[in-house]
Amino acid sequence: MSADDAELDELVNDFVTESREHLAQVESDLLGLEASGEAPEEATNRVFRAVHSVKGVAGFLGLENINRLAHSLESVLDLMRKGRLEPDAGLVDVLLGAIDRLREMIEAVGASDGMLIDDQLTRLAAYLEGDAQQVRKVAPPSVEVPPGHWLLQLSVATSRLALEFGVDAPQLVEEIARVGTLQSGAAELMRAVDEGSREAVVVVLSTASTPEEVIERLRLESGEVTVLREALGGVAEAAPRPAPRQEAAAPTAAAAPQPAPAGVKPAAAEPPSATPSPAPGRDNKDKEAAGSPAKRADAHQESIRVSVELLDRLMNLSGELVLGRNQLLQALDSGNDKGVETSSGRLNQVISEMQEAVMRTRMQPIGTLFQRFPRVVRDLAGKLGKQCALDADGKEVELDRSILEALSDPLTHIVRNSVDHGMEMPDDRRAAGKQAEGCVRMAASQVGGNVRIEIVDDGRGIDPRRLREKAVERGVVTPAQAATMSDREAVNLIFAAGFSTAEKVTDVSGRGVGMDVVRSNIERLGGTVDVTSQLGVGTRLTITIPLTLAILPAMVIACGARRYVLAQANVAELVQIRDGEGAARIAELNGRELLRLRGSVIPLVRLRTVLGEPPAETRREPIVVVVESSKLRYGLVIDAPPDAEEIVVKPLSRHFKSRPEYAGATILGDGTVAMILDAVGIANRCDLGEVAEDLLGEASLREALDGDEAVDLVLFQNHPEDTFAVPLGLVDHIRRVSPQDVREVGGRTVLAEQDRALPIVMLDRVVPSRPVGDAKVLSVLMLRIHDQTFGVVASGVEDIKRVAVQVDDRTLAMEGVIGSFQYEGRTVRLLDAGAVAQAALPHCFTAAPPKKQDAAPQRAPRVLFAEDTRFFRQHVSKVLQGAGFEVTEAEDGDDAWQALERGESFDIVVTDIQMPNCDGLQLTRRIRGSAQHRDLPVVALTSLSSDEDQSDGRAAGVTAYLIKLDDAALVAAVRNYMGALV
Amino acid sequence: MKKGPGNLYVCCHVGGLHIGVNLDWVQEINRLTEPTFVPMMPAWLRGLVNLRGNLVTVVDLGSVVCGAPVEKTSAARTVVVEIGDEILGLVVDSVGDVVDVGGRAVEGLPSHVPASQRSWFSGMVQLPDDLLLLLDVNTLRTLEADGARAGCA
Repeated sequence: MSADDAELDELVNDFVTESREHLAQVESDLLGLEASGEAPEEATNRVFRAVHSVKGVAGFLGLENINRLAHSLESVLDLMRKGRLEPDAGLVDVLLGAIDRLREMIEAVGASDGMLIDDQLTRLAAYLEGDAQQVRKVAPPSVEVPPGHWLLQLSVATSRLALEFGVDAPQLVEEIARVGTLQSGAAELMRAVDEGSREAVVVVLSTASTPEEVIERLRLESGEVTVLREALGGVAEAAPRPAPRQEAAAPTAAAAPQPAPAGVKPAAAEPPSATPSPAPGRDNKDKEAAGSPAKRADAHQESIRVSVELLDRLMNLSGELVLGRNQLLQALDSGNDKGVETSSGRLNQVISEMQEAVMRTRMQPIGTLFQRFPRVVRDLAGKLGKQCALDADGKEVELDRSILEALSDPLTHIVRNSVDHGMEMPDDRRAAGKQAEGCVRMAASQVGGNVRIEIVDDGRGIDPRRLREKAVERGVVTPAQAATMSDREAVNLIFAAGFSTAEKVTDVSGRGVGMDVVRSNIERLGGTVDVTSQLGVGTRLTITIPLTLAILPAMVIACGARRYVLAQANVAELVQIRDGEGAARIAELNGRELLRLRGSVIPLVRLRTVLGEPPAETRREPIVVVVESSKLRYGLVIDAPPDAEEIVVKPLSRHFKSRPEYAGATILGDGTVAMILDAVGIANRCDLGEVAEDLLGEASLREALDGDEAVDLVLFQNHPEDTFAVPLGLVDHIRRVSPQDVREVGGRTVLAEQDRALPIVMLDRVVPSRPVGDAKVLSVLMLRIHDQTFGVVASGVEDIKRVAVQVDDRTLAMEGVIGSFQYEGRTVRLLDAGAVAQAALPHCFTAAPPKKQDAAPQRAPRVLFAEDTRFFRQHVSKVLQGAGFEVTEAEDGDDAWQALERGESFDIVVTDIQMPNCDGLQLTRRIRGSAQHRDLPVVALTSLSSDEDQSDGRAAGVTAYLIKLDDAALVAAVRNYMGALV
Repeated sequence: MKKGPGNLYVCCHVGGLHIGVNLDWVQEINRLTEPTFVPMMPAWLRGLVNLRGNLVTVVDLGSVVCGAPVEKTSAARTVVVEIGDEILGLVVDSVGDVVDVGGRAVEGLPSHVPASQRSWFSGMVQLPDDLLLLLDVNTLRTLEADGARAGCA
């Protein structure tokens, strides 16, 4: 192969790659045009430009057929661009048909000149004809062409040519006249030049020169010249011929145009039987015969586009490689063992990175595959008389191109199936109460080490009963098997060999080879496919493909001495549990930790436990990775904030397959190996599925966990038989002390510390209870009330529980106790911490409350308090009244609002957040929205105060956010805001 | 057996046994570097090693065959074998010569070899001063991660 040939091949390759992209873009734009029903300039221009550039390059490369079809397309598009044609469905059909043909020719570029394009040309010409009066005028049918002359139609871009030749209008006409005789269009040409019009003028020229020569002499582009009639006789032979095969056909082609009206675009004039006319291409190199198409087709090699950034990276890495080699050689020369080690380590890393980068060059977004489907759906729906749209999500998910290619056929089949079998006719859909237009949704996402592709339609669904019947009928399963099958299994029968879901065989799908081939193709890629369907509602096909080669955006998580990787796709969010917040947000249920997240509860898994690592020694603020996969959501507790890194999944030996925790392994940037965690596998191993079901199944539990009435309590024992609870919000921290540190000093109990004595309470002195027994270690719950810290001694702290407080405040009413409730078969008394503090340590708390009292207004400050739970309502009222406020209770936000509207005056509003009818935030918004009450301070009480809640509250206009049962803080806050007011 | 290629075995020492690994499998022999430990895996799986960008599953041949892990000494080696598309690193106490067993008869294992050990070997060859147990590398691929096959005598 000569250098020239190689160069040409290269050009052809580039052309193919580029054209492919152009056409893909064209297709989606055309579909968009059709959908919008008009021709937005931008999209039409884009289409026009794309076709134009295909045309241009094809002309340059002498790809005559491609050039002609593109030219014809371009002409029609030009009309659209000028608003002379509306892109209705018919036109778009024709355009798409032509684009298809163009694509076929481009894919078999070497053989393109042998392919028939007459049909497409005729159809396109029909549209041109509608607008062809002008053209007719310029080229009357009765043109007499001398023998040996060509009749050419030129599209003359006057402004360009005038510029190029540096001439004015008459000169340009002269210039053209020198080449041949202007049969028509001279006047238009003059006018266009004079007006400086940018639009091309179509003229007809008869000339003894070959089109090539005309192109050259008039500095036209090959696409701007169309052969209307070929030169007859000996002169024509002088024209170079691209291939003998076509030469054989030339007489027919040459003879054919005679009966055709010359004025119509030549495309229309081509009789269907004619092979493409042998208008000469520019490349005279490609003369050698019939073998050439095949040769070209072979020579055409696939190419893909690689981002410059990636190339730069490769370049950079290869530079590093050279550097590493030099260092290694140097170290070897000087016998520097250490140096050898260092530089080979370095090389190792560089090469790894290089390998990654090379792999990345192969990655392509799945969008390149998806973008063909709107077309597939459109055509098919049109053919079947259905209405159907296609939605695609996750186009940016990258897959190795080999996988993408292999997915193409299965996906096409599935989508066609969805439209053909899944979609009902528009009337049926309306009858079923659906929109006439159905929708097929394709979505790609990365899930762990896999890419998941879902194809969901909202069609009629699959009838498992029918499938069972048919499966039995066709001997796919026995009647007994069919009877024991679940519906889900039955629906999956569509994948059985030789099983077509078609009720009747159509030409669209259902030819017997079908979903079984789809399944085997996907399984060949190491993937799985699953179908679920709901009769009358729709069908969902889920394809899961391992992204063995895929680049995975991932989080690198340190655990113990090692690092692990979790696919970013699994991560919904990161939640940092701050020091004080930990206990409030992490609750426990049946031995399982749960995280409260914006009103929902998700199970927690500690990564250390999963990996068999000992619990973290230092008590750092834990970070929860909220993991989301198809069926579950849970929190993975990790030690430290993760790093983001892009990783390449490396194949693992089969030994790891049986461990559900791992999805694979990777090599991190620094060359170390890290296992990729499998979010679903971890969940399965921890039986999280069960928890989720528990939560769903038992309404009471959910209520207990979700309801605002639930409260985080620290449960502890004074005596093993006496269990108490204290709101977590009041507990500052818990200490473990030895009994000898608890001392009696002057009738008071203190905890001896190095430089001071902390006041503490033995509960049995305050509340009827048995004393703390002999214990080697005592726990002291340090409570903070009115900015004073004191301890409550306990024999043991049981746990922090989130419990539904259905507090009975009567049965066990006594000093220091708010009430009691039942928990796991025991009676737990809820401590009134404030009362306990006051009773036990009067000296600590006498001074604090009256402090503000001095500045208090004459009348008792009035508090409007909205709370739907009786217990809290009574409790908080009691607390506020105890602090000297006058409290008006309201059962919900509405109630409270009515109180305000009645004209009662209040100094402050205290409200629960979650209430029926009108919740706390709504109430706040109403207050802020009213002229009269706008300035009232609003204190919101909630059992959980997360950042999101708080920002919601702030947005609504809440003045302060407090945690329920933190009575001291409430009193302080009410005082504080009231102080500001008074 | 014929002499020459295909009959060359790398002679490895593992817990007092002489084990031959067919040279055709062997990619390279490296000093034992401690691999990245992978939690929750059986003891015979020492971890993963990054070998020029490929992951090597490091299998402790001592644990597999004798139930005692190979100690990390200066003599300890990792014999890297490639089976199909998997690369395994076999950790052995030390590596000796490459021996050509061509021309010698491959015998069955003596009856006193416990059943648990038998499965790892395809046969035995008598060398002048040694018995060489021929490792059946393929069986190493079937080691179960739950440890079912890893139990040793």
